Order: sequence, then structure tokens, then C-alpha cells
Amino acid sequence: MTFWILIALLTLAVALAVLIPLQRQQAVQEAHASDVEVFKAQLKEIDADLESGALDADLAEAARIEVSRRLLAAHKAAKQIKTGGSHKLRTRASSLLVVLVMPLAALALYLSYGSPDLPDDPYEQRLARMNQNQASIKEMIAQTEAHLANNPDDGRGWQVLAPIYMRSGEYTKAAKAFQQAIRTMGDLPDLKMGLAEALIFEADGKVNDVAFALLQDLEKVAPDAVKPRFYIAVALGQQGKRQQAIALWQKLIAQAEPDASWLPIANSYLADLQNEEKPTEKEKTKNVDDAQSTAAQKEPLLKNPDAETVRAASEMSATDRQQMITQMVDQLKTRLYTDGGSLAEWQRLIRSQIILDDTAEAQNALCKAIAAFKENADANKTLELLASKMGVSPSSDCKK
Amino acid sequence: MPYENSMIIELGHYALILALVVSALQSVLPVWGALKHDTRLTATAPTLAYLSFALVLLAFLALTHAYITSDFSVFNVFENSHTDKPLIYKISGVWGNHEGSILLWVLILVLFGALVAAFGKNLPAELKATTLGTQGWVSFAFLLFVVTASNPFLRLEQPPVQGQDLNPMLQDIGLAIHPPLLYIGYVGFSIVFSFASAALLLGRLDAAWARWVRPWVLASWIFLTLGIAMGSYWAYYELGWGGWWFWDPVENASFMPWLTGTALMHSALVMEKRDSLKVWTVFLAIVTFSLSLLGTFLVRSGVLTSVHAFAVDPARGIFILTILIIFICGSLALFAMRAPLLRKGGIFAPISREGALVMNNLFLTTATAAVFFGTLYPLILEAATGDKISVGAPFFNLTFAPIMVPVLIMMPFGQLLAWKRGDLWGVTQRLTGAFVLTLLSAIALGWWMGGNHIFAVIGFGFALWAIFGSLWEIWDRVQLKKVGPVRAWKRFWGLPKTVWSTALGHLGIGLTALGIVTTSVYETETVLVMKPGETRQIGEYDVTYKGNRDHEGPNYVERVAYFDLKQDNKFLHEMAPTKRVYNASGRPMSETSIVSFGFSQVYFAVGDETEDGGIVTRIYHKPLILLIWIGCLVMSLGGFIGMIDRRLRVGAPKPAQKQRKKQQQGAAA
Repeated sequence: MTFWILIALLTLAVALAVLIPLQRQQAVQEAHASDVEVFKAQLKEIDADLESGALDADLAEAARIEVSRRLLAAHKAAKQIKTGGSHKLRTRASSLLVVLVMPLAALALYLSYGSPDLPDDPYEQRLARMNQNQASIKEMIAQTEAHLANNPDDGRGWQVLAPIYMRSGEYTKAAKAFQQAIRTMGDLPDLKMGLAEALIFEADGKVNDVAFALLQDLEKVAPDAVKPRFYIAVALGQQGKRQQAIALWQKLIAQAEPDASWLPIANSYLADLQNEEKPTEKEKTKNVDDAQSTAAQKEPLLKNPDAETVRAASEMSATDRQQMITQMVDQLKTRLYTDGGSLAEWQRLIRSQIILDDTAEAQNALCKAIAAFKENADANKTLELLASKMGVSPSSDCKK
Repeated sequence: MPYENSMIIELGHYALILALVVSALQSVLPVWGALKHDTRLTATAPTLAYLSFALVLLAFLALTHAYITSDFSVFNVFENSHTDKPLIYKISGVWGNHEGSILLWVLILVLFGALVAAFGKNLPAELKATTLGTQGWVSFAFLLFVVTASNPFLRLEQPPVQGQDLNPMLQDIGLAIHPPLLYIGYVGFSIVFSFASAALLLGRLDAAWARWVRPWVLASWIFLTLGIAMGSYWAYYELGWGGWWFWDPVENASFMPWLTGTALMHSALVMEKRDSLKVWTVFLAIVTFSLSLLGTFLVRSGVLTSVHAFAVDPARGIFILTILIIFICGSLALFAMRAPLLRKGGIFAPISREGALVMNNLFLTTATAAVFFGTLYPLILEAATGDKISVGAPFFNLTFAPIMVPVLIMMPFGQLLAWKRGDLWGVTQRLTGAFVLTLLSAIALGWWMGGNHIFAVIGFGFALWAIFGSLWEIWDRVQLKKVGPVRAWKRFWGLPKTVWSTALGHLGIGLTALGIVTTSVYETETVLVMKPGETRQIGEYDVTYKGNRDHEGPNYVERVAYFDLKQDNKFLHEMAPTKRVYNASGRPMSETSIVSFGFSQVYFAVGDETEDGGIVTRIYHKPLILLIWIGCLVMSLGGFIGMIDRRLRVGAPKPAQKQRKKQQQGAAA
């Protein structure tokens, strides 16, 4: 409301400021009087130049005659042109423009281009809000944990708690919570899927046998569901069943909605598998450096989002977006932890985790990266720099 | 929380839109009033000009506030800022992007309107109103562009956590200052254009007009000079190639209005003194601003990156192009209609000060034409045939440089020639001293540079001739030998400001020319791989690479390479060029390390490290290069002295009443 009052005041002030000269009787200024002043001044300058020796006497005289001629002409012109005062109708029309048309035009334009319902949202405020959310989530978790300690058979409680654990990166706890929920509520597909996912995340992206069995069960029940097949495809890739994995990815991609959020990730998995295929046919010995450089050249999984993605993201709900980001980071993590990657990719992962406020994970990733680049002095230097920035001491904080 | 629900951004957006509507009024009411001789309507002109400025300023400050607080709910801030960025680059980020820089453009446009409203007290009311009205058309066109096609206030409902950061190349103090300076110059010529259009509309164009318009020409010219110089120095130390001018279309875009602006500055003098060259002066005013618009179009439409890239997303480019065509064609049509009525002025002899100024104009416009074709030809060719050619330094050196030689030669003559009828033989005799001085110093300088380089000596000759010749007028006027030291001292200080202004302006050109000649002929470039501990001899210097160290900046990490620069076993300076990687974008940048010895510089830049621990090092020796920019500063100083000349501020005609009061007071006393 204050905003609209301010806008009204601003518009009013502008309208008034223009009305004042319109409504006031203006002194009639003699046209060409200014010219006369200029030529008079020029005459004086000629005298001054003559005195200082900048002009010779005859040149000064010639210049004087020329300027005098202009002066006379200006005088004459001044008499010919009469400046009228004002005209009632014109004044009224102009006032109407100022008072009515101007505010309406401004308002109409603003309503079509502005976002009057969006207050400022500076970084500081957003940071405070994020911390607040985090704090309240922690509180909620603590309360639910206390409740479940007393009522371990409350299946709905476990069902609520498990995804929260997932989001805060406590996958072991999440897996346990899903197991508890399944124990009390039965083999619901959602719960099984959650358990499988928790197990996969717990193992840093590796699909272990338990998870794989769960996924296969789920696929049997609902052959068209995307999520189980997505992870099955990941698992097949990890198991070295490249052809099967490729076939499944291709099928998934073919069936996908064109704007599905997981599609880029799937494409990148597929591309990775297809790329892997070629060099093994040609040459089996791979230089480590080569592998690193090709990894760096590949389209990075988690690059800084381009403007389009962010626009799309801004249209999603807050939780969807958070999920998308978490998912992207997790995918990158899975890949780096299992297959390794370039230094830039590791840095990107660590930075993303810091942004997601997942300090423990970031530290973990840093340790892994340091281990991976043990041989490379340059990379180590960069990583140590990053470590010191995060307040992590690689020697003491990174346990085997 | 302090920011809870504050609406600064939206207020800024509304102010911008209100400014658009106000500028629409500004383009109608004053001109209508002037054409109907309605004093009430003309009286609204200054108010509307002040309001436009205040409102755009409000919008600009709101956007700046969003940048400082890293408010990524503004799409423009998200695209171009980052929380880790130092404060100064958060602020300069406002104009480090398309939308923001156009907003700055408009801000300066309305600033000039407000300045004319404030300082134009000596102008006839109708001329002032029409000038501000014309300025209103330009403001309206560009504000319409900002609001509808290039709006920096578009919002994101769900702001992302972090921004995408400003292009690292632009995170530099030089580029923080360069655009505002350049824009003040560029856009300043809009007011000259408005003066010209107003004069054409009102059908009144006389010597007095030339005097009123001169301070505005000078002010714009000064800032354009400084802006171009700043941009050139930035390119020199930031890009790391050691070059200071690339004949790049972006540079040419600012250089063309400078050339015609310089011509305009001189032709306005003729118009003021002799009441002639009127049509030409008005034409130059229109051309200069048109070139400014053309420059804006070239730089802002993306047409330079590739004609085809432009064709893919042409909305903005077409908009600016439309503005360009409307203003250029409109003003030229007005010119064609009105100019025949103006053709009447003093006749003059070819050998006279005005004759020399006409020559100046001829050469400067020819030079502009050369730059114009060199800049646009590749674009037109690419659009027509798809062939991509680049017109580089060789073309410009072959066309532009020869045109400048006669300008340098004639400058001292022009200064000494009298108005109306000059005595060329007399002037030549008076310049004998300067000529002898030039000859001796050119030979001495050529010998001292250790070269038997005949072209260098000729080049030195032209530059030194401009230097000594421009100062000669002062020597000549003081008449030391004739009047003795005491009176000469008095005469020295009593010299009219215009004399100083001309002498310094021409001196600056000479200094810049000297810097250009020396650097082009005698600069050295060495590229080598250096290993830690290694010492190499580069020309007269010994360079030792000591090793490198990593260092962390606020939003980048860098590897600083340390070199010792010695001469004859004497330690001179520690050089520390760096290679940076910016965290947010991951983009690498190399920062040069430069040390000055007198007017000469030694310039270090490092590239990649080699596998065996060496580092690619580029070392330049640039003799007298600083003179290039010092010359620009001296030129601007000359312009500044010309601008503060009291004669340009002829008193406004006082209303009859006040005068009577004064007389009464005088009588009472």
C-alpha cells in the first residue's frame, strides 16, 4: 500500500511541477534581445584585443564594422517579431495532458511492464531467510525424532521424516526411516523407491545389490514408471553392461516428456556410455592425462546455469527447484566419486555443495579430490587453497 | 529485517516509466510553445528537463542499489553480478551490460538537458525551449527503447542463490570509469544536435547561435577525448597485447564523432566570428550526433560480433536502427528544407584564419570518411555476400595517417593567420624560429634514439613541428625581445584564454603524434619461455624470473610471477604480472605489470606455464608511449580553458524591471 501511495505522490509532485509554469503569468521576453547582448559583448572583445595588441587597428576596425552590422540586424529583427503572451485553449489542453494523460499513461505502462507485487529481495535477506528455514527444519526433525522414539510404530511419522533426512543429506538415517516405514505400513511403492534411493545416495551413487533388487521389484509392479528404470540404467552402466544400459537410456529418453528435468542428465549418461565405447575399440591403453582432458572437454554436467534454465527454474515451485539443484549436484557427485573427473569438475562439485550449505559433503568431496590428484602438484595447490578457504585442514580432517 | 518489503526496485522502475511520459511531454509542449510564441508553454521546458533528469536518476540509483545489495530478484543483476565481487565492480556492473549501459546513456542524455536548462540563462527563451524539446525527442526515443526492449528492471519471482558475475575483463578500474566518460562525450553531442535542430526549426541561425553552442561542443569534446584516451589505455594494459589502438569498430565508433566534433568545434569558431559556414556547421552538428548514434547501434546491437548473430535476434538492433534512421533522416530533411534559407554569410579569402579552418574541416571530414568506410565496409560486405573480411590497421594506416600529415603541417599556420585576410608569407617568416627548432630537435631525437631510421626522423619532424609551432604563437605574442621581460611577463598572463586554449589543444595533438611515431618505430616485443632463476637480456635490460606464488583475491585466484628488472646490474623494479581465474565464471584473465621510466614504459605479461616449469613471458619496451595519453590530457586541458572563457558566458538580457531598480538604487546612492 505504501508503495502505491509513494507512486501517487511522485506522480502528483511531477504534475504540480509542470503545472506551475503553465499556470503562471510569464514575463514577456524580448526576442533577439539575447543576440544583441552577444554582439555587444563581441564589440567589447574587439576593443580588448586591440588594447592587448592581438589585433591591428585596421583589422579591428573591419571587425567592428562587421559586428555592428549584425547588431543592427538583430535590433531590426527584434522589432519585427512580437512575442505573443499565451493562449487560454492551449494552456488548458496542456494542463489536461499533464494532469490526466500523464498519470494514466504512466500507470498503464507500469502495470504492463512492472511487477508491483514483488518487493526487493537482497542477498542478505535471502541468506537470513534460508538460515531460518534450516533452523526450523532442524527443530522439526528433533521433534519428530523424539516422538518416534516413543512411538516407533507410527509409520506416517517415519514416512514424513525420511524425505527430510534425504534432503539434509543424512542418507543412512533416511534409509533406516524408510525401512521403519515399510515395516509398519507395508510394501508401498513410494517407500520402496525412497529406500532404494537412500541406499544409492548412501553408497555415493553406487547401486548395490539390495537397491538393485528393490528397483527391479518396482519395475515389475509399474513397468512404465521412470524413476526405477532411471536408476536401473545407472546400475547397468556401473555393472559394465554397457549395451543394456545404452538401450535402456535410449528407451527412457524416447519416452520422456520433452521438458522433463532429468532429461539432460540422462543424455549426459548416455553420451558418457557411448563415448566410453569408442576408445576401447580402438586402443585399450588409456593415458590418464588424456582421460582427464576429454572429461574436461565434455559438456560439464553441472555448469553455471544459463539464463534459460534459470528462467525455467524460476517458474518451478521452490521445492521443485531445490530438488532439481540437489539432483544435479548428486548426479555430478555420483559420477565423480565412481568414475573420477577433471579438477574443474571437482571444484564445481565442492562449490555447489557449499552453496547448498552441505559443509560436511563439501569437505568429503574435497578429501576425495585431494586423494584423486595426489600426483598432480598444480591441482593440489589449487585444492589446498580451496581447503584453506573452507577452513579445512586436509591432513587432519581427511581420514581414510 | 531492514529490507523487509521495501519496494526500491519497483519505485525505480516506475520512475523510469514516468520519465518516459515526461519526456513525451517535453518533446511536445516547449516546441509547440516556441512555434506559437506562447510563453507559458515555453516556460515548461526547463521544468520538464529537470524532471526527466531527476526521474531517470532515481531509476538509475534504484538499479545501483539492487546491484550493491546483490538483489538477484532483478534479472539484470543476476546476469551480471555476484556477491563476492568488490563493491566498486558491483557498482560498475550497473553499466557493464547492455541494459544498464543504455540506461546510463539515457541518464547522461537527460543530464545534458538539465544542464542546458540550468546554465542556458543567456539563451533566448524560444531557442532554449525548442532545444530542450528536441532533446526531449531523443530522450523519448531512447526511454521507449529502454522500457520496452531493454528493460533493466525485469524481475525473477524466485531469485537464484548466486549471480553469474560480471565479465572479468570488465572488472577493472579503467572500465569502471571509461564508459561514463565516453558516454558524456558521445551523448553530449546530442545537445549540440538539439541546438542545430532548434535553429533549423525556428529558422534562426546566426553568429550568436554559434557562441551559445560552443561551450556544449567543447564540453562534449573534452569528455569524448578523455573517454577515448581512457579506453585506449585500458586496452593497452588490460588486454595484454601491448597495443594501444586496434582500429577496432568499437574504437572507431567513438573516434568518428571525435573527428567530426573536432571539425565542428573549429567551424563554429568561423561561424561566430564571421557569420559564415552556417550551413556547414549545422550539418556537422547533425553528422556528429548521427555518428554517435551509429556508434551506439554498432556497439549495442551485436551487429559487430556477426551480422548473422544480429539477424537471429534483431529486436534490439532494429529498434536502435529505427531510432537512428528516424533521427538522421528527420534532421537531414529539416536541414534540406531550411538550409537554403540560411545561405548568406561573409565572403572570405582562402588565405585567412577562416580559410585555414575550412582546410582543417576538409581534412578532418575526409579522415572521418576513411574511418567510416573502413569500419562499415566489412559489415556491408558480410551482409550482402556473407564474406567475412577484416579491415585492419594497414588500411587505416594507409588512409588515415597521410590525411593527418597536412593537418599537422598546417596547424601552426592557422594559429597565426589573421581573420579575413591573412599574410601567408608574413606568417611563414614568423614561424622560421619554430621551423629551425623543429629541424634540430628532430635530428637530435632521431640520433638519440640510436637509429638511422629516416622515416622516424620525418615523423619526429611532423610531430615536433606541431609541438613547437603551437607554442610559437605564445612566444610570438609575448614579444619578449621587443618589450623586455617585465612587460612580456605581463603580456604572457594577459593573453586571451582562446590563445591558450588553441595552443594547448594543438600541443596535445603534437605530443600524441610524437608518442605514436616513437612507439611505432622503436617499440620492441620479446616473447620467450623463462624458467625460475633464469636471467635473460632483453634490449638494454636484464630480466630475472624469480618464480611464482599463488594469491587469492576477493573473487579470483591468481598466480603471480615475479621478475627482477635490472639495467647495468642496477636493480630497477620488481615486475609482477599475473594470471587469474575468476571463481564464478572460471574465466582466465592475465594482468599485466607495467613500469614507467620517464615517458617510456616496460610492459610484462605472462601466459601459460610450460611442462618443464617455465612460463611464457611477453616483454615490451614502449618508448615515449605515455605521450600518447598525456597529449590527450593536454588537448582536453586546452578544451577546458576554452570552455571556462568568460566570453562564452555573455550575460543574459536583464528584464526591464530589474534594470530600472538598479538605476534607482544607483540614483539613491
